[in-house]
Amino acid sequence: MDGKRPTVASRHGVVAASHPLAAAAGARILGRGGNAFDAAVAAAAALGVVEPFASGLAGHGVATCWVAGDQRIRTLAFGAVVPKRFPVGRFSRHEELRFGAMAVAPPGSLAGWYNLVSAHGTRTFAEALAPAILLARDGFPLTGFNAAAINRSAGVLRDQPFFDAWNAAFTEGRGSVRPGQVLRQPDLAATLEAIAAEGTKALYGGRLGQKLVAHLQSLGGCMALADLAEVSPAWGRPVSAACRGLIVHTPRPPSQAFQLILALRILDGFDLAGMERDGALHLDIVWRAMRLAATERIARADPPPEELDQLLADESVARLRSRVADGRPLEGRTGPGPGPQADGASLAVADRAGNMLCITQSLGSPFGGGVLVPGTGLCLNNALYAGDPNPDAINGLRPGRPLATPMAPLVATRNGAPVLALATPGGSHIGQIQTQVLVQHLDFGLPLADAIDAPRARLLAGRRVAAESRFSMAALEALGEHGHEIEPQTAWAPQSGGVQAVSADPVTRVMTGAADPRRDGYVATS
Amino acid sequence: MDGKRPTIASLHGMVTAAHPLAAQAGAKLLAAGGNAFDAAAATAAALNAVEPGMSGLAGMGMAICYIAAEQRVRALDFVTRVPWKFPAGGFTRREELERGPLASGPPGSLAGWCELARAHGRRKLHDIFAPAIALARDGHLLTGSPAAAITQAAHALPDQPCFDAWRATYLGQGAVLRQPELARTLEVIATEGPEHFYRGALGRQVIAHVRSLGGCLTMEDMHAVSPVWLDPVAADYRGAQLHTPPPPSEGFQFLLTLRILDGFSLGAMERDGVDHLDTVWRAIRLAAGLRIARNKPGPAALAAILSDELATTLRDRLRDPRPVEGLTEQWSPPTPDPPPQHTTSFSVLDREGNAVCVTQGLGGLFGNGLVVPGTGICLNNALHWGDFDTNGTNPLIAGTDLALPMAPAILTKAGRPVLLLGTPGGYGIAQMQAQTLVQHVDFGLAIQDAIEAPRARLWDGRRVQAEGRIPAATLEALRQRGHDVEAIADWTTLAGGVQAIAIDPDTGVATGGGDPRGEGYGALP
Repeated sequence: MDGKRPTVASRHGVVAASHPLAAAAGARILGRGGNAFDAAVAAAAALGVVEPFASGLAGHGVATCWVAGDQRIRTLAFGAVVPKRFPVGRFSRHEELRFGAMAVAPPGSLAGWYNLVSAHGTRTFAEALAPAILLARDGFPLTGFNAAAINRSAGVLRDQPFFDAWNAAFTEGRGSVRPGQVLRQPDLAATLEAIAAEGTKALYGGRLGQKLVAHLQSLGGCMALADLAEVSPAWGRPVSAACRGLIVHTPRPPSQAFQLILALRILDGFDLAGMERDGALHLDIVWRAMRLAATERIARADPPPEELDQLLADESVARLRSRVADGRPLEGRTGPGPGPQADGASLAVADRAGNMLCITQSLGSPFGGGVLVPGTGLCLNNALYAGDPNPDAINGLRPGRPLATPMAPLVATRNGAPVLALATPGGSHIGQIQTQVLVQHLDFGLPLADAIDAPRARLLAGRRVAAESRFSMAALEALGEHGHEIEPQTAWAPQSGGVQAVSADPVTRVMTGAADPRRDGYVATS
Repeated sequence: MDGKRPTIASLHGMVTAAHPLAAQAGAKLLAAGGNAFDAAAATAAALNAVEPGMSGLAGMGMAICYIAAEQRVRALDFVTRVPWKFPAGGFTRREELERGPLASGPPGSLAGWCELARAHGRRKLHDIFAPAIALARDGHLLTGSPAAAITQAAHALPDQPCFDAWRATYLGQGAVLRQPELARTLEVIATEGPEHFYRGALGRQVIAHVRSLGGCLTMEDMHAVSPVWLDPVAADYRGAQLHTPPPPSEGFQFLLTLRILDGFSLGAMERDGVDHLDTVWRAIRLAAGLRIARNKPGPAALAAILSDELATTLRDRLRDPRPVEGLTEQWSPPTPDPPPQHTTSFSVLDREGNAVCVTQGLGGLFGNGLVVPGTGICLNNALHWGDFDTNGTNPLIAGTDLALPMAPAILTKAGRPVLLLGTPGGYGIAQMQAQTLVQHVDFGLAIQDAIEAPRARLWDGRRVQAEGRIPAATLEALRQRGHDVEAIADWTTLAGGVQAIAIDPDTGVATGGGDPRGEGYGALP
């Protein structure tokens, strides 16, 4: 109404995903009687087809779930593990792992998706893959965002030795694509069909996996079949924090979602709701809290439980709140080194049985390291690019070690019932993006869709802040005087994430979806 | 991207409708192997549940369809007729037929939905009505335009006992609207077929209630309900062919508007500049005048209206700098404020290339306001659109058709559909569809952008209400050209609710558009 996108709500189920065709895939499964787990995997697999630069079965991710049958939160980590034969000490610069075979970690997403369905779904894995297979085989029209991402990657990958294979798969060899052009991925369709028929072992031990390993080895990579055989997504308990009457649950390390939890804990000490929304005071406090939380996160890639508990304990939080309140300028890093941020995709699903989950998944950089396994349509990740070549550094690349990931899909509960699931890609900015949306929604009471729409900022290194231009000039000027170095962005910066979320009202049992208009987010219902 | 909704595009078809849940109902049928006809009937029924004031099974409507297997465009007329026992001479003021039992014409919509499915669909009514039944039974969140409509109707309904059933059905439920009686009604119809309504117990129940209140509908009227397949009326525009249902649809006004505009190089003008808008508004007003003067034309008269000679004459008049003035409405509204919005439109395309565009309504917001107790059915007030004067252009003569402004449209190029579009809006329908079509065809806007482009509602005389997003300087320039234009809200349902699908016939890519003036949304299978 009034020029805005409608509220999309249902009592039967809702899917918010980074792309309309993926949201539709999830809704289709819900409509056929599948539950949120079946639908989430359908949407996740479809995302790998319709946003092939952002995620795929050969990538990684994390899921946070409210399992209605167990009445509890569980997280599933299907993240990157450093291959056993990774040559420690060979690389000294981060950039050496941007492209190519050495950057590839054993694919986690396929195993993660399978785990979600087999543990808590009600349909077969093959059924969940069916929409993705159809989209890969028949093709789909590229959106403006899709086309721009493919064209950008064409420029980035052009000088790589494996560019021709990538170019053939994604631009029909023409080097660029147009919005509205149909992208068909017959090799990927065949791969998905094989997996649907044979199961995930096709990749993790079988023919497909052998092809993958052989190709990487031919390019000088270090992955072996033994790495694939050991891929094992891990179910776990969340790390949680109380926030405005809710409990926010996120994955534990190696997810770095604790940055979000810490920021929320810090902000819990400030009466944001009493401030002018998007005024200088509100933003200054939130930005300061986020920068402090990022500093703490960067210092600890994968903290053991005791260290994490200490970080989130009252004493530590009180100290950080004082630092927010003291007004002295704050600076520091907020992310990994220079270079493009990780990209990714996200989705959130709620079903009529009371299940709710969200997933963030990624290939690392757009199209990962640009390596395709010939004849399979599989684009491989470059997950190791996010690690540090110095094995002794935080998040250092050591054989067999799980890499820290900034992915932080969250589920929030109120009085023991799930009320919100929210996830975004965005690399090391994920924690910041999600913090800002939660403040808009929980502190200022904006409806979920408006909270996602509200202008956001990304804190960069030092004191730099990339702020969407929709903030008021007055607020940005005042914030400049508070020591923030504002770098204006466009009105809707896609680097500020693609937040997809669902909420549920335990009383009315109405489920609502909300999607991010910075990218191609969309909501479908069953 | 960029703050807007994403492009909704697919090779597998889609549904665009005035409510996300109704669009999804149709998409569900497409996903389950149904075709556009199944999906259209599903969405039509779902709209009864989620937009109960705008359309329903006891309403009326029209569909324009592209039947892929026959490679032709056909229209399905499921509008209403004047009841056999309508008391001619019993009324003097149009307002008397706005509410109450005598305002209803025989209910065409259920028959229309079932005929779409029967003639060209593949699924049984059980599957087709399942989404609507679930929405009515389990309820849905009332928000946005439908919530506002219920509030508006509650204030407009007179305080009479016969409206108690309406209040019991739609008010007082809080955020979630459940309609268990409608669910049961649809369930029985799904099992027993539309005969349960038109010849059976449900029909008798409806007629008995109407008669008990003094209405004139009879079972003979119900038996006579019979949707009619017709060849559309068509006109050329920019080398494509625009098709709408023939009379009693007043869609020929829309066609005539475009015939006039075909003589002007709109694409060479500044989009939304004074020349573009002046030209389009003049064409709209000229065509409206013709429609009012020559309503319900027979074939010869219709051919004359759409002839090159008349187009030339009207183009000359358009070029003449003297302001154009004249009627747009069949009657002047009784008050300065326009009546509440009503009626709805949706578009469906399937992967085989079948296309259905429907505009359906109850004649007014919640029709005549009468819900038949125990059924969940709200009746129409279609007769509100007729003339008491039997010499009028749309006379209320028993047993005859009523002309209605519904004009769902299909644009084809070399025989293949390239655009489906429809909107509600009474006498604004032809106006809004023309404006949107020009944005898409002449200015090349993607269909969602074409829908979002600001529009204007022309009224009698020289009066124009333009959405406030048109720059003030442009509006001032338009005043200089003779338009008595006032800026209204930036986004208003007065400017319609256009739901459309654009198709690239070479690639098969369908792209959808939903109107953000209401809750318009696209759903993919």
